[in-house]
Amino acid sequence: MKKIASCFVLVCLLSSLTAGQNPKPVVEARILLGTDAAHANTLVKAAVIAQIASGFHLNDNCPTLDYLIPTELELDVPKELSLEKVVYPKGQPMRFAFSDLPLSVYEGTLGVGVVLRVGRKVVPGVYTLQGKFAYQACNDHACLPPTSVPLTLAVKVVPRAVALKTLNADDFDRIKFD
Amino acid sequence: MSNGEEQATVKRSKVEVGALLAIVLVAGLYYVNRRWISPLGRQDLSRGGAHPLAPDFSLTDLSSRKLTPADYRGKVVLLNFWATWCGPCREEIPGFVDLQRKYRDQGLVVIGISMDDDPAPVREFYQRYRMNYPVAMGDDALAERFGGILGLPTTFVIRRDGHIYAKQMGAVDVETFEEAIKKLLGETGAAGN
Repeated sequence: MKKIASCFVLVCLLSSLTAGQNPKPVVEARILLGTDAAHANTLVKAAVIAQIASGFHLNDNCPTLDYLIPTELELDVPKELSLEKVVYPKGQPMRFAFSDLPLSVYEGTLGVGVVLRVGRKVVPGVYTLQGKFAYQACNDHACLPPTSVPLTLAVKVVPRAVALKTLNADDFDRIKFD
Repeated sequence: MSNGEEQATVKRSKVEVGALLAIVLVAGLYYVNRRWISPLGRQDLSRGGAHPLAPDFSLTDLSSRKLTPADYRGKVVLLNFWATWCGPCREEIPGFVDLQRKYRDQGLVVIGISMDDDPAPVREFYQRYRMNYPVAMGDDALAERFGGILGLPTTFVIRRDGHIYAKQMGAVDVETFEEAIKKLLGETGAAGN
């Protein structure tokens, strides 16, 4: 009985520690490369995969109403790379109590495509870009302030003779780059 | 009962107690999980518990008038944190405009605290929606003084004596506020739970 009571007290203490931690973020985002490395003077694809907590939505990159804050990817690329394009998914139309119009929003998991160009004369090495996935989340009756998830991506440039391996195929399949 | 049977009974009892504790623990963790992962879960106009004095502050409203809650002591105050980018907030505000119009003479003051970064859209909204109560620009420091504003809208109903009567996170029908306001307007003194 003493052991059971001791275990119970210990578990309660652990639970209270858990309760004191920061709440889970509404959006978790990560940035991935489509290949394990890149060659100079070529295009390389990256993707930001964002997971939105159940019950919440983010505004489309092109919001339905002008006062809504869009979801946006901001990237700061090193001089060895250049940003060719960012491809946002199309949102889903959803109706909310606070709007007569259906709003185009993101729910669940979304993928934002990024196409980078590696400079012509870039020597082999690792080049890091920084960025943030900026969003503003709401549920049916309340909204969280605008915020962002910081992102860091290391792009390894290798000699042309080195073959590249495809990575994260499942994540890239959800993105329409063209 | 033999010694062996007695031991088996004790062992079974321990297992049952352990199982019960495990269920209680899981239920408790589920509650904690729901509370922390879903901080914007709809909450009914929270009236229970302590009624602390509303934090004091001094702001300048959009009309450049000084806004200090102490000036409204003796009035019932509906203090609404909102933002122009918040759809549910925008839906609520016409109801607040109606409440202000309806109960102004009885002692209701509605105050809007915008959490926008820029006052320009707030002014535009104020004019378009013909807001008839003071609106000032808030910031994180003010939100912290009110215990942290997790989401918008968040609305406080404050009694005539300056104590917080209720807090509502998330948009609700204006009737919910009206019921509380009518009750407080009907009270003459500091009482009211």
